[in-house]
Amino acid sequence: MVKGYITRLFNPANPILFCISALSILLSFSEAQSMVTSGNCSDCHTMHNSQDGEPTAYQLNSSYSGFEANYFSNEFLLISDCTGCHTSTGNSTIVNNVPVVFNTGAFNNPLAGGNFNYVRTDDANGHNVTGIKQQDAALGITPPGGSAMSSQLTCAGEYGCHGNRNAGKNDYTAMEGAHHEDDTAGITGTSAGLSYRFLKGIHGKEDSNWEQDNTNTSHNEYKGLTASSSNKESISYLCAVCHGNFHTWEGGASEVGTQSPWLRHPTDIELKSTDEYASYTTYSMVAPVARPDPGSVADTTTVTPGTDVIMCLSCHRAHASPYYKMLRWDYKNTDISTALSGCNICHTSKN
Amino acid sequence: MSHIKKLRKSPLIPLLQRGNFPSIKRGLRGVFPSLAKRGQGRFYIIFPQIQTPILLAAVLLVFFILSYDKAFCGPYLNSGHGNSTYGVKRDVSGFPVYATGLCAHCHEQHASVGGAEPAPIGGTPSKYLLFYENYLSQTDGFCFECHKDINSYQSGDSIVNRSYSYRAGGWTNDTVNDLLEAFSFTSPDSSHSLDDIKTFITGKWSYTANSNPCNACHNPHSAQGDPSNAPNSVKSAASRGWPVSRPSAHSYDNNAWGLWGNDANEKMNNYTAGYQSPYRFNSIITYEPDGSTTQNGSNLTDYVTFCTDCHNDINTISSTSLGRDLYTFNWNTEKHGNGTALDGCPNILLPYQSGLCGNYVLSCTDCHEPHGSPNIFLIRKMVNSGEVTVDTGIGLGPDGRDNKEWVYLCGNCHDGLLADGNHTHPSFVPPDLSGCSAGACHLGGGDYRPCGECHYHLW
Repeated sequence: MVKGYITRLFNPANPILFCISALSILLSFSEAQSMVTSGNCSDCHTMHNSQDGEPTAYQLNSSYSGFEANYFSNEFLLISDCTGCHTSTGNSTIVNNVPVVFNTGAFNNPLAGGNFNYVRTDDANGHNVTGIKQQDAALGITPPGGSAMSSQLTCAGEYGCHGNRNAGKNDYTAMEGAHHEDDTAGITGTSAGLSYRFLKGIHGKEDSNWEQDNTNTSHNEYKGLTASSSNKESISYLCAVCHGNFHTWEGGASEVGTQSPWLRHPTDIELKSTDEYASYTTYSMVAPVARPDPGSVADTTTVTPGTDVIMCLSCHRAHASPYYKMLRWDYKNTDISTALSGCNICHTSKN
Repeated sequence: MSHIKKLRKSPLIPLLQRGNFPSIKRGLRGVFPSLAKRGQGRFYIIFPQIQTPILLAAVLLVFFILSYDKAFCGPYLNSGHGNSTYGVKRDVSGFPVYATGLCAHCHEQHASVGGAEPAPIGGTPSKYLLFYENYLSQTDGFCFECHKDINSYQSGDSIVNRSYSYRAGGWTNDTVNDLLEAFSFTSPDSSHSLDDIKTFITGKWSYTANSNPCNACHNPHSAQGDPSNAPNSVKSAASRGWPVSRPSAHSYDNNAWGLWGNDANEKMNNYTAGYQSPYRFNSIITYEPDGSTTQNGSNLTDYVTFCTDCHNDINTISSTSLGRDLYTFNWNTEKHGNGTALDGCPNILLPYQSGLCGNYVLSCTDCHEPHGSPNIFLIRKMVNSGEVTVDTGIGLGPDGRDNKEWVYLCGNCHDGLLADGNHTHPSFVPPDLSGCSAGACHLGGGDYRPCGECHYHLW
């Protein structure tokens, strides 16, 4: 009966009723929905995907301009999927304490990973994640520095970054329970929920506002490792799962080298304490460093050459940036000083 | 005039008058043409209505504007490679349109761009992230991928680099126009052996077996063109750049491994008070290296200090092409160096003067090319206004006599070396004791021994 009611509401044959219904849905989802582990269950789950005869579940519409009702129930009774919950049509990047990774329109203060809005306009600016952008026109499904995948990149799971990457191809399954897990005892990497940003196995320290304030007094602390070992806890290792040839220890001697002269720009290598690198002592949000022990950084504003670690995210944003190749600064700017500005954070004498 | 008097009391004006800020002068004349002019060597501000504080503020503003770029530019952006107008610019299909001077033109961070390797495609990543192998041989290496006049990866498909004789000596007849060509000279011509350099520097001054021998003399992140961005021009005072860095100062810190020759204490006149600039080609009024009338080496890099980092009386340098170690020498005691010419030099040619003999100290570049030459021993094709051809050292001299080919070089400064020149024996070589007729000096029959048998850097 409910289904029949919904069908009538959204029956294109009744355009007035259809528009009113659609509009009400859109308005109700004009901001990202709350998604907190301590909130009401109904913030995230719906028992019957129906409330007063209308579907509760929603999803991004096909034009990525907003939301639309989802008549089909999601797994785990979720009211939406990853992009549905972490997208906003407003200009805020944190809504009801939910980090927004994709603002469909103009926005302010992108979070640490950047914003998938940028990849909407240019494949080269970000990761082409299913549900936000079709596969990269130039790269297809072959990540640079890695082997071709058999499916387009997803948020989580076997073809994604978040959640358990060994739990199959399903976003929901990969993230199962992650949002409910209490990580106040620390990031151990033993489960998705106890991993840095639900990146299973990865360590780090999470900034409470996802670096929305973009200040070096409070920011994410990323894990870096500096030796070839079985340790797979670093943020750069996660990148290397797909871009293996670009990672010092995954690419190895033939792809990156293990010491200078490097063959590719190294990651998971200590920032040298000698020469020009010794001058990088104030933590830069433009070209940040990872830490060998991100949980015990005494002063977040400082960098310790010889200890702190070069990582993929020293140069790149994880999701998307306004710049070519997801870089953290405008490397393709026509002004050479601007283009080099990020490089010069570490390469202090190459300015 | 009272305003002018007031202005002269400003601490800035004496600086301007002394020429310490030529860019300010140019800037003032350019920005406020009615505000400033030169007069009898002094810099006057003429604008009676203007008050001194306002003028000072204007001067400071102009100074800020003119110095803005410099103030925020480090050694790389001031280098030839890092110049935003004429610096490195790889121009190949599929390569992103990056700003000129950007590191990516030489260094590929991931040995690929957008999932593919732009040209040149080597298939495997290269050391130092370079787009080509750093060094392979005398004529094959990363630098030569751009520094050649055809098929260069630099935008425009060509980089022209002229010889020292061309640039400093004004010998524009020289057809050598790129570095690959200069380093391609083989015996009996000569080029600075990159293999031998590489062998010599490895393990010294933080150079390693992976170092590019070009980097023995040049810091690629600091080196400037000389003349700057004028490859087919001779040097002028306005176009100078400073291309070399001392190998003994080599460092991976670009600030630490600075240019050599750009500071006042790195000039030839700082090394010696006895430097005399040679003439430019076909001139008796202009001098090397910049065609000005400066003659004391204050506009010339102290190449003696530079070159003797390697070439001295301590280091043993093996020469593959000569099949022996290079002769060692101490320029502080060399006759053409700081050592006194014991036999005097009565027949010396201008601009050198007999009365000053014993005081003259030459720069290495007065006679030698740094990269390569169609002469032996890197001897320049033009020295002190005259052209030089020394193919073997034992060929015919200008007077047609055997073994006197070196006179083509030495004769540009020393007269009396020909058959009718009344060559004066040094006092410490008594002609009879040496047995000229017996062949110690002369071979008999009117032929001399090759000059080079006795005259080389050891003397």
